[in-house]
Amino acid sequence: MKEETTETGFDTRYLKNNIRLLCWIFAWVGTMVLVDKAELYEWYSSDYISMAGIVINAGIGLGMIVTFMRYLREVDELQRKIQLDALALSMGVGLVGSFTYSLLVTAQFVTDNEVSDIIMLMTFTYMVGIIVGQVRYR
Amino acid sequence: MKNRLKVLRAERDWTQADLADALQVSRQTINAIEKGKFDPSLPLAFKAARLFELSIEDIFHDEVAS
Repeated sequence: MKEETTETGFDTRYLKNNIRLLCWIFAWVGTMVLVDKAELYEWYSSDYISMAGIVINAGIGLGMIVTFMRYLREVDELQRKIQLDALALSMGVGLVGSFTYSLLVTAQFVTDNEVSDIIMLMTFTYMVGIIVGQVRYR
Repeated sequence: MKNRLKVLRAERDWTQADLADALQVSRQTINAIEKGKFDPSLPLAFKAARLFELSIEDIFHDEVAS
């Protein structure tokens, strides 16, 4: 039997799509955290700059959604399953985590109420889910 | 679900990448199917059957039934 390690055209396209999607995700999370921290610590006083930051973040978010939809259309069924498992894990952790966080705030165990922490938790869980899926079906 | 993809591929001297290209999936998917870690969808199973000019039952076997 021939050597098994040759990458296919599909693999190359998949890798490119992965990199493109990761760039969008990091851009969105990065601008989200940046805008959030800028507002929290009052890095600037102008409302125009605040609004511009929020609009840019929302625009990048929309770009990320479109890229992700296109990405899911182009991947094969195994990758779609890995994505679905990772998204389910991320959403579950995000949902449970946000409610737990909310209860902690209500009970005054935690004073900060940071949305970006939940976003970061979901992003981290999603990435862990993807890595676990890739290792499982390697 | 067990399958004969590896044997059929070996008979034709194809690599996993060759088969992946022919079926328009990733090499990882072919590897996962061959190892029995992932069951293909019905359209992909039909595609494989057409490629090898066999019936689906000649390639894939239900472990419970056998």
